[in-house]
Amino acid sequence: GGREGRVSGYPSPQGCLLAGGAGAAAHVIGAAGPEPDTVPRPSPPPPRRPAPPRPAMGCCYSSENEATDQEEETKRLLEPAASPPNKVLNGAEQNYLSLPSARTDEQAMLSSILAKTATNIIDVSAADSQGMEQHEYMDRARQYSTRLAMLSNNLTHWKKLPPLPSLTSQPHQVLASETVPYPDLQQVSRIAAYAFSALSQIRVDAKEELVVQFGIP
Amino acid sequence: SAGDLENAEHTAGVISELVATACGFRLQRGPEPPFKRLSVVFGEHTFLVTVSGQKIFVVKRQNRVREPVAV
Repeated sequence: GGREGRVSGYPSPQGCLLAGGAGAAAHVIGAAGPEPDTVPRPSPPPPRRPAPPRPAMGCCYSSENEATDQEEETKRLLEPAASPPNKVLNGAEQNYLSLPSARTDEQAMLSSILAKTATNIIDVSAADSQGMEQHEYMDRARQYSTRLAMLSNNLTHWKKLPPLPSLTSQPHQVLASETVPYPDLQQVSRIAAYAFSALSQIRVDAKEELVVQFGIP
Repeated sequence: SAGDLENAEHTAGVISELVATACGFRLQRGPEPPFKRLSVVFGEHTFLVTVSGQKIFVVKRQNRVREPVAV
């Protein structure tokens, strides 16, 4: 279809720089052109200058006007892409006011895709890194190393167990050999019982007074 | 492991600690632990434990039936 059908939500620069502000803000966020649901359109379609018919395959532009449009398009999109998404939202109005001319279907779709990707992408390399100064960096490194030391203290408990002395080189033979003779077990049990009863009979035998008077003449 | 001791993780933990503690004993101030095998004797069965290399070997054996005393 022609331009009129698809881009009806786009106010022309001549008519509606102020009236279409809210709608254009939504456009910059990324609801441009092919998403009529999300864009709050101004109720009366704004008056536009009649546009010359464009080719259906929108990438080859013949007029100089459109080339400059494309340059401005990419130039404008780069700045909001580099900054965090909330900056795009806040500066949407200013971005709109810098729109000099209307866009075509294809350019609108391209710009919408670019804007959506820009808001969705978390650019790690361009992240704000000016918050960390040298002393902050050293403090954090120290915090991490102390925390590691705390954790490794628990790990050394495990390290104590492995160095077990080897009791034998023939475990199967040792385990299969004669078990402890029952009379020996009985004797050990008896001795342990004696020891237990002896321990239980330990008590204090009070012979004298604990508190005495000094014999002061 | 296999048999009664298959997947006996709790038993394994207890016996590991037993062995580690016992290996620290030095009855005559010698360089090595004073035992080759550790026996944990219960009423009907016994766990026999030894260490070879860095592995703890545990075997469960039934206690030998004591001949009934002729009265």
